[in-house]
Amino acid sequence: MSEKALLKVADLQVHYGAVQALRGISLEVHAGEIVTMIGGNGAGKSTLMKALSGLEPASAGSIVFDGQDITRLPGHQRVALGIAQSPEGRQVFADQTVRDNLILGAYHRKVGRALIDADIEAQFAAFPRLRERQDQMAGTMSGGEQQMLAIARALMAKPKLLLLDEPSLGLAPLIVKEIFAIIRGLQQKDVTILLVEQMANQALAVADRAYVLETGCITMQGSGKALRADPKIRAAYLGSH
Amino acid sequence: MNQYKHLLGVVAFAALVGLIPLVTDNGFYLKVLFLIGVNYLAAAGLNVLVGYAGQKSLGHAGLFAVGAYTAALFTAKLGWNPWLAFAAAGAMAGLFGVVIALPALRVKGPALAMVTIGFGVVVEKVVSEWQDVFAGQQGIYGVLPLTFGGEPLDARQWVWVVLALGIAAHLMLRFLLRGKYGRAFMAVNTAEVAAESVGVSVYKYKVLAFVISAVTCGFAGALITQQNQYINSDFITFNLSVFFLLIVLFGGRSVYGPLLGAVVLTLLDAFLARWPGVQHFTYGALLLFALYAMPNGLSGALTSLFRRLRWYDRRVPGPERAPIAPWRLQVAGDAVPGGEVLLRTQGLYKAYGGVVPTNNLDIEIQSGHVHSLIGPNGAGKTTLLNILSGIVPPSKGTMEFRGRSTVGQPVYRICNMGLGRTFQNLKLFADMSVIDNVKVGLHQHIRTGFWSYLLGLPAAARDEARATAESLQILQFLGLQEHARALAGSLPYGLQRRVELARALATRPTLLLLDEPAAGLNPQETGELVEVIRSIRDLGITILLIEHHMDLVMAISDHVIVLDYGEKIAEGAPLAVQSNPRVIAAYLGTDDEEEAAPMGLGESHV
Amino acid sequence: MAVSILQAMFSGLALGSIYALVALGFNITHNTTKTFNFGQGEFLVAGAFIAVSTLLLLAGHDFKGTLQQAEVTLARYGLSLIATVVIMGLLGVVVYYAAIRPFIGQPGLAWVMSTIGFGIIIQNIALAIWGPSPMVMPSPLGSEVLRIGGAGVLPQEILVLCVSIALMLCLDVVMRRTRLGKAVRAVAQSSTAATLMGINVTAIVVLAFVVSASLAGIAGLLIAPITTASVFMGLTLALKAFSSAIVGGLSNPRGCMLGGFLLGLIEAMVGLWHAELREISIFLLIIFVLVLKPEGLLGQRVVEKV
Repeated sequence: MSEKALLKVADLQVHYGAVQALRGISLEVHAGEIVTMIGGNGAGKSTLMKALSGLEPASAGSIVFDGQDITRLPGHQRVALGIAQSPEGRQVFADQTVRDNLILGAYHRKVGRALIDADIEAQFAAFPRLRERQDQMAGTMSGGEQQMLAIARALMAKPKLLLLDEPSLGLAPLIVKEIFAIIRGLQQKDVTILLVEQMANQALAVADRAYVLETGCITMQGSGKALRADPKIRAAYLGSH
Repeated sequence: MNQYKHLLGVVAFAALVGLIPLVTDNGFYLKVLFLIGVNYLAAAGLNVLVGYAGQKSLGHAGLFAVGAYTAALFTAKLGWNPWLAFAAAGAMAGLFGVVIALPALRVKGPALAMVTIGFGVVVEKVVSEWQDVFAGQQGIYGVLPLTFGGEPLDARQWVWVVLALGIAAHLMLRFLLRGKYGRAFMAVNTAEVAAESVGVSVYKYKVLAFVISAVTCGFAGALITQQNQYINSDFITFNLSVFFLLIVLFGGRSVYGPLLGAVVLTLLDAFLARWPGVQHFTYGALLLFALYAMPNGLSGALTSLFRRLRWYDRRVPGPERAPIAPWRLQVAGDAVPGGEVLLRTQGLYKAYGGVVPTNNLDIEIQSGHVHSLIGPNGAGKTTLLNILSGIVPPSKGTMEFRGRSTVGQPVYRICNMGLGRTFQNLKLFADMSVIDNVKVGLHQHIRTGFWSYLLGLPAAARDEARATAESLQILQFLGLQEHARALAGSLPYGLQRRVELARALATRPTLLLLDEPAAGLNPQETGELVEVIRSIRDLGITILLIEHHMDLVMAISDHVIVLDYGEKIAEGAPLAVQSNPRVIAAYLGTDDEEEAAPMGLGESHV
Repeated sequence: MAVSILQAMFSGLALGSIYALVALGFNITHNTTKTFNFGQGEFLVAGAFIAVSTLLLLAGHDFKGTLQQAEVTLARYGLSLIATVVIMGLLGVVVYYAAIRPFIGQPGLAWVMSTIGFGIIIQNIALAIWGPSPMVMPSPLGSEVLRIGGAGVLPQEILVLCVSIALMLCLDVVMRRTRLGKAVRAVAQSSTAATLMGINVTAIVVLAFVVSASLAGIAGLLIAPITTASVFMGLTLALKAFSSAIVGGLSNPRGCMLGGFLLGLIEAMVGLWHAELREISIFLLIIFVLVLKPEGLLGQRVVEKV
């Protein structure tokens, strides 16, 4: 496809001190897609997410978003450009209410209170469980509810690109199913999503395209369906027989 | 530095300084020399606490006061012999060092600094306001000075006494800091948790550092009091504590730092004495300057300068010449026969608020085998290791290691029992040499005690030599011997991991816990790791490792345990576990088409 | 007897509110950066002196001198408050960039010593400008003692209490209700998550230091009329404020306020009984708290992740 990519990463490298976490990866995300990056632990998935949001500096390579080179742009400014993330471990603001978390999600938007409240209502419509708990402290909610909050909070920023870092982490299987259903639903609302996951099957089922990350390098890529049928995926996770 | 060269240097220094009082009669110069000596004494001890053990204390004026007033009161009010009173001053200060350490060590870092400031302020208030005993600003007169042949010391003799004390302190502290105690202090400073995990009781060593610094400050106080034959509360201020700290910071951590700092700052102090406002301002400015420009102090700056000018090179002096014998593991007590249960947990449970990383675990580790612990991210593997090694207490359940319960035992004692470990996020003592890192691992096996080290007795030297020999053997076992003298933090990541492994082996463990030993290693290094783990097992050490690299786990393990959501969902031989459908589902997630069977994980997680 | 107790309570509460203000300053910077300004006491002193000089200038005098009661009106007092806040706020920015930022994240607690060094420099600059003798600041409300329930209370003490409580309530409201306050709390919880919300963490942190320094300055201005404001009183005050934070819980703003009032009251009561044991009792209290509940009355134990 010669469509211009919403996100284009080229030869990205990230170092933590002496350790190289990303060894020059390149990927593309087009508007309206769900792209997933799967990989085991230590593969570098979260490092990629952090680099995209500006939480970790790139040692080399480039990140181009919506035609603009954001490689050196400070993290908090990337949100205004249209990149929002539900980070690894959810990182909700535990000592603030659900409602306050959502208000913070819209922090960068310079709009009036009324509009923010309307958006919060929209999020509650999509996530009824959050409406029930809107005045509850976010830290007291279950993992699944916190994950919903993290996603809703990111959506409050009205992003062009939503980054989801391991939404299934530490969640029970039924909840994971619920979360992936939500993710599928988001696509229908025209949100572009880049999702990194360890739960390969579910991620591949929901994705249009997928990449496989192993020790900082991309080793496979293709459509979600094709990769899902590939026996090499199982080998990547559970070792070769 | 060669032992003989050092001794020669000390003698030469002593002779040089000792000559000065013979050459000049100037009272001012002699007083300054005396003050340099006193400040050196205080700083040398404080350096152990601040420089080596890393505890920033700002209340040592209080300990100075304890020594000063002890000497004053014991001689002026109780009529004691001045030398005995001098000794008592040091002892009292040491006692107060314990008194300040106990509450101060309940908190960390900045709060500790505040508590020490508080201590200093309290002492200041007590001596200025409790008029009956301490006579506040009026002061205590009639303090008996130290005597020689029945006569009070004159200015020259004070210099010689202080010189002798300084040299004695230097020699003793140098012995102490070059050996097991110095390494222990630095380990506590750099990575407390790691130090505990190799058998160093962090709390004990922090208190010891406090006491050492208290004793020297107390002696310094006594010297000033007895030389002036007078003491009043004006001497005891926060500025004095800052001054002592400044000497240590400015001079730098090394054994010679306090001397450099004492010389420069005493001279500066004397020079600026006419303008007290400028004096204090300079201390503030110097403090900031030292922190910006010379984080390693003057001694550190000089060392790098010398190194750059190639005046001496302290790096690797080439590979060790003498052949190193292969390492034979010496296990205390009886060796454990193979196949016996080494570690057993029952009903182990840990909850943090709503999160339950460890849910009712029954685990048995058999001696002589390599066990692997696997499970998806968030399954509770590292938490289990932390519970087993004592870093995290379990909420419920029992743990037994070699038949003895380990629940509630401090980390260092569990290490004493024979359980060693490495960490997922490397916790090396990065600014110590590789061989010193390993020697810290041997810490609990070096039997010689504090006094032998302080006095430089042959027993200590023998133990140090033995520790060096064994450390080299361990390094050779892991192929690291040529890096022995390199700075641990300067090695490439893969080698750093191996150094941490060497350090854990040095504790002579019966059971070794490895937390993701292959994390961050490239495929070649991972292959080498498999061989290393095999040879460790062949030494007779039982291993339990957490890993994600499935190839590694399958290649090396005799027994695999799988965790998911804090529970054990499978265990057995590697091949069996690999094809277990529950395990596969746990890692890859279920397909939408297959409706997941309840799996016993339950809705309790919602 | 009851009268003197009541009197002690009033002055204890007034003094305690000062401790609470400074302790709040510690809390704000500690929550957002895990650091605080060890020279906070000197900032308090500086605030007091800046206020005095402003009042002198407003009265047409030289910046050093003696103030007359009549020259200190409530309006001018208000103006000097503004001057103090502005200058101290600037100083807060300076201390962040000079003494905190270069050392954040470095092991070895260099920032403790750099802020101490900075504080010493401030103290000596103040000494050079204003000299060692205490500066007299008459209260804008006059020095006539009021009688409340038989107890003698200085109007300034009431002013101190009112202003402090108003400030604390204000801060509490800002922290809980406004967008900015939520952002500050977000940074305190997790600076990475805050960045993901589009919050400029550095700007928030600088703001924290500006607020903290201003609080210390305001505390100095409030307390100057009821104590002898000398260049040397900073350290003891800072220690007591820090002790309040320890007692109440350094991580909890309401804890810091509670701790301040508690300490002020205890100090006043002990002072009634045995004047010279005042300070010692405070520090003994701290040691007691540290041994039993190191995180403070309202604080939470921090679990370190290994």
